[in-house]
Amino acid sequence: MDLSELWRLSGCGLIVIGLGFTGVAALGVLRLPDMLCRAHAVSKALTLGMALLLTGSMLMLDAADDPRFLLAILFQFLTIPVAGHLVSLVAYRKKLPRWRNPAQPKKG
Amino acid sequence: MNPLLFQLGSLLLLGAMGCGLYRSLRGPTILDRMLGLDLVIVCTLGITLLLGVMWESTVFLDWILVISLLGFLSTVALTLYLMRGGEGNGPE
Repeated sequence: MDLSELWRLSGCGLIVIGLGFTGVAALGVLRLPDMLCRAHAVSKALTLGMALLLTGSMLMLDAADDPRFLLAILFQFLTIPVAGHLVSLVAYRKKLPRWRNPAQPKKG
Repeated sequence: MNPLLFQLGSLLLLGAMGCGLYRSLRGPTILDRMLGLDLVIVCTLGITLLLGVMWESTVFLDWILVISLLGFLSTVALTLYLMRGGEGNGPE
């Protein structure tokens, strides 16, 4: 097997995995019961999904020497978790009501 | 790039964008709306990436950098505004 073919295949796989993580993030935003849970879904799964999508397209375009790809990946890792943290910080400061599992009795 | 993969990926990203729009329309607090719009912005970036891979060009990268910066700045600005008070517009 050719080496560039291998790069293209692995880029395809990375794009598929990144799409899966993005779908998980969307599902979390749609279904989770609490604002802090939704911020958790966005800030973790979406960051990993976008980083994998960018890496996969870098491999598929055969543009590993383009510094803008590395800059974009670094940017995703810098911006999305910081935004999620800020939103959760506001929710914590404003004392939004949190979700508790109704099956478990409340502790303390 | 395999066009079937491109179509399925675009459909999935459009579904994710729909989830974000639903949350930003429906969300009980203003922070939920901000999260939903964040998700919409990132899904736009993903669709742009898939288009660039299909067209075999790297022109779209500048657009990706600019749009992610804009989304981050808008989130930070709104968060600082909410943290500084903004009682009437607070999370309710």
